[in-house]
Amino acid sequence: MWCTPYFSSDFNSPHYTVPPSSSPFEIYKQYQREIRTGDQHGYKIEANRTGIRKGAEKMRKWGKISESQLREISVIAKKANNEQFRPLLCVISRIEAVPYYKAVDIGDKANPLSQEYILNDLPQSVFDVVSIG
Amino acid sequence: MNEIIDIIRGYSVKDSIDALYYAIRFIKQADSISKNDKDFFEDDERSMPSQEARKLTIRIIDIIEAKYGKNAAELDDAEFIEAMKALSAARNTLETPASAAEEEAAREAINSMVIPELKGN
Repeated sequence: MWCTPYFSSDFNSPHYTVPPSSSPFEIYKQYQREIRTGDQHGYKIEANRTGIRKGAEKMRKWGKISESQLREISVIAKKANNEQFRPLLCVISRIEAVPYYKAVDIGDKANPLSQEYILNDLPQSVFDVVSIG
Repeated sequence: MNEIIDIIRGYSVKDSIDALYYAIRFIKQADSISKNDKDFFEDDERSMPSQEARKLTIRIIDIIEAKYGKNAAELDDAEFIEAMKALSAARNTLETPASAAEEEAAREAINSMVIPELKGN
């Protein structure tokens, strides 16, 4: 899971460096727009279907799911309608996130000054789920 | 862009899915990647793509850039959407058709999806 300590990207702060492509709020709005408007030019949800399929392939490789579960996830990712991709925000306590933390190399961030992290195997017990609007 | 579909046929499904995923990531972030010399394959160590998947990703990006005669960062909105649709269409060719039972199971799973409960509820 990629995450950032900043929620939006339009603060008038010189310290705020997260670009729109990494901003939770911007990503959230993009999904919401595609779902609400039935956007024919939307791509976010289609890209997410590929991401889910990739994740399932990895889980299969690590032995966390069976071949039939991989198959099931693939069919669901393909058949689910756009409504099922309704965005939710995960709010993670910084202290609880530390054991799962991996810093992203400067050269790999969307912006060199941006604060972005990868959290591995984050259990559901250490984050809250928030819906907006 | 049937060329993408033709090319992925020569690779494993797993590498093809990975390559399409990273090609999508590249196209989406092409502007910041080119400005910051970013490694768009960056991920959790266990999720890193194979060398084959990396090579395939680059071939796919080359196809897209060759089609439009410009770098991905320079694609206009219509070209960007067309490229993303081509990548999704290529992914769909990797899916073997679902059986009636699998479709029904998927439908049931989709209908049973719920919003996760908030912590403490």
